[in-house]
Amino acid sequence: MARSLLVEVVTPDATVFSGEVESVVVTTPEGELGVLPMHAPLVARLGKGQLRLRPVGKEAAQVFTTEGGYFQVAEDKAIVLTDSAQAADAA
Amino acid sequence: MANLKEIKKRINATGAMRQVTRTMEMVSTAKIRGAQNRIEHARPYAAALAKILGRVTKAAGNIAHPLLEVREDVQRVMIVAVASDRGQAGAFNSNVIHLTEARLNEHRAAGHTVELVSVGRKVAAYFRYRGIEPDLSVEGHSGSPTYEDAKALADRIIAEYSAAEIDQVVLIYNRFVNVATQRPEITYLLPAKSEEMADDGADEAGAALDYLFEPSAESVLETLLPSYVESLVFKALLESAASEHGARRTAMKAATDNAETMINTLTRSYNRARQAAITTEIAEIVGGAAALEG
Repeated sequence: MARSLLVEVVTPDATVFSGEVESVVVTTPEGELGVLPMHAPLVARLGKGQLRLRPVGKEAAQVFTTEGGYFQVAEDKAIVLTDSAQAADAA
Repeated sequence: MANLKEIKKRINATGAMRQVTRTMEMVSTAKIRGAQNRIEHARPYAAALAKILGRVTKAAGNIAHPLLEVREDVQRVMIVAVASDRGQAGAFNSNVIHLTEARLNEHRAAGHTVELVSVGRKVAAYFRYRGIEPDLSVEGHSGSPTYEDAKALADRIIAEYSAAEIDQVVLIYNRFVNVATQRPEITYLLPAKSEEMADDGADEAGAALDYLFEPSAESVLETLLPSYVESLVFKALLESAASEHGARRTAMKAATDNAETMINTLTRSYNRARQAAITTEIAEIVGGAAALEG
């Protein structure tokens, strides 16, 4: 059984995304960080850059541009906290 | 006859006023809903932030951070008074203003230096009129504050606190209890209490998990604390905005009701005056006819 990761992308104004994904890629100040299901508990600071989510059963990734914020993952639940998350075209 | 005309004029004027207050009441009703939604939308962010913060403070243990630093000898206090740019909202502005003024005098009496930050034109205007120029006055967005507004304000507060220009930050605003009730409240913004933050995240299952920090717990905390303060300020601004619309709605509803009562009373006196005039006229005609016959 393929495992998945429940991700929520939250900004002060709204919850931008919430759903099961196969992978998450966030941008930390030191570079990109990819997270798959069953990742060890982690808290990270985010820098300016892309946030890529691959929802379960979909080929195309959902891409956001984020500016600062935090990322937390524990027990297949992840939260992306950011000041702003703009949807960007998948590159 | 002049009396009749005058009463009519007053009825019309009151009617026009009622139209205005009723419109404002309806506008506020619509805006409350929007403001409440914004509070709802901001909640997940604040909750998640508190959760992460609790996690980090617990993991990082006893760490020093300028924003956590409690200064024993409080000499300089910053009072942030949050109210509105506009009036016509009942006691909304004056509640905050009076609390602020009382607090201000208290600190001055104790020999403290007070830095006043006002949010909303009405607050600034009140203190300016009394010869107290706010050190910072934020104006123009009390009805619908954005996160950027909160951030700008929080950044200034954080900068001054970190530079030890102030020892304590007090926030005074109207807390939104429900549509009909707003309670003015004083809260301490800084120094931040780490126990409080840890408590917020403690009940969460899996709190005992061993977390990795990227790049390090200290570095995460460094930006997390300011974000926490920002979110507290943002929450206060949002609550204040919702309270403002709530207070205005209540005030305008009362004004509309008063106008209605007044129109009723005036209409009654108008009718009475008109009837009196008719009766007088009839009496005159009857009197005239009687005089002719006689």
